[in-house]
Amino acid sequence: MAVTRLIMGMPITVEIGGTADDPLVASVFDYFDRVDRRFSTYKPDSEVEALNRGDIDAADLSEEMREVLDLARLTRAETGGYFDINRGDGTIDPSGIVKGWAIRNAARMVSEAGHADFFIDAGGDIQSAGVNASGKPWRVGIRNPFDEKQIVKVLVPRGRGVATSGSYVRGHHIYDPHDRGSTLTDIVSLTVVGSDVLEADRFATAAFAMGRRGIHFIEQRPGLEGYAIDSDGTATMTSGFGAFCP
Amino acid sequence: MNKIALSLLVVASSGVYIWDQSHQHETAAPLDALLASDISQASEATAASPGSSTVAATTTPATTCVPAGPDAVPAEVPSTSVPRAEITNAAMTTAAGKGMSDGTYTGPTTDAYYGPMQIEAVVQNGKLVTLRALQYPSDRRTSLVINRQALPMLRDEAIAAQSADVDIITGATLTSKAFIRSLAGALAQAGR
Repeated sequence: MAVTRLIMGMPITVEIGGTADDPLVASVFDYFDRVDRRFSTYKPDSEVEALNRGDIDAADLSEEMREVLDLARLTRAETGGYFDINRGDGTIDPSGIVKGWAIRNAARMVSEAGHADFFIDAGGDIQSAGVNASGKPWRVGIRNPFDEKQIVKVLVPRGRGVATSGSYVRGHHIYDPHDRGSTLTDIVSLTVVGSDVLEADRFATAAFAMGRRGIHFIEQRPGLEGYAIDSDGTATMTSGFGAFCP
Repeated sequence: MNKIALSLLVVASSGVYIWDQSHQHETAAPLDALLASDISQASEATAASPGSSTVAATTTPATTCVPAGPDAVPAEVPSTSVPRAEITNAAMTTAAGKGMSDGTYTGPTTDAYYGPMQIEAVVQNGKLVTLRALQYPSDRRTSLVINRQALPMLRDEAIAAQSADVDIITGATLTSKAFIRSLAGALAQAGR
């Protein structure tokens, strides 16, 4: 049975197959709560806000914070600066990496507890493994950016991570770090399939900021496949994307 | 005739590609630098290989390849991107006006310097809808690097509603507020 809770400002859904393991589901949500307390830019007592105020020395940062900051630096370098947690005013907002990282870690918890069939969905970014209650591989639908009640593509990720970056639900919340203040209207939705949800998420965010050229970046990057939808309703997919379509 | 139509398409695609690249260059220099650094090895090799440049249409959405008229071919094409001479001539002579006949066209196997190359083109309603590489050099590392860069591998489709038979939905981050609104809507329907 899938269980949904609202954490980090978004719905998080966990479904673990086989026998109902309520304590494990609860511990997954507890983990997201802990991540939120440490990384929320909306909570004044979070570690990230302490860092942004200059109240913490680099030497006193938690292991988790260092891991996230390292991942952010790596992603920035790998994407030519298109992924950047620096806001430009000396503060940081690591939420672009925290979500995928937290989903991946939660999935590891479930997997290490001995479960082969499950999915974790945080705000539309998904790590799934194994099969659903009917014994079939999990099927993921890409939501229509122009009509949230519709699905426009179905994929079977078979253990890989799936993440979508888009400009439709929250408005133009993704900006081009090389052109601050500009908004991106051309590509409205970019779904990326990666080796895990962290890979899918960080590159979906960066490639979305590249506009029309993002799908070429995904095509060139080994291990990633993508499906971009533009404002005219035309989708462009990478050469290997079809392997995930039923 | 099939060969001529195919050649025409290849030339037109190259032209569109070059146009596309030169325009992108003006607007997004940092990404150009990034992509260029990724493909430095391939660029060098491609420059030495006139054959392989005939398929340099990385952006092959059907819509951009459609205008096969003379306008789609830029007046000045960099020498490294000019396809084999005989193909260019054939295309130029037929570029004026004649539409394309529907069908699936297979081009000749040509020597792409790093190995054999053969392209299939599908024309529907007078428009190029698919380019597919039937053969391409893949036995050397350099060939693989070039092909990942240069072959027209991206595919386009118009989005259309699909069966909702899915377990999970991916999309731009759904906020808690949007989720509650959607849930409220669903419950209202259920209560009717």
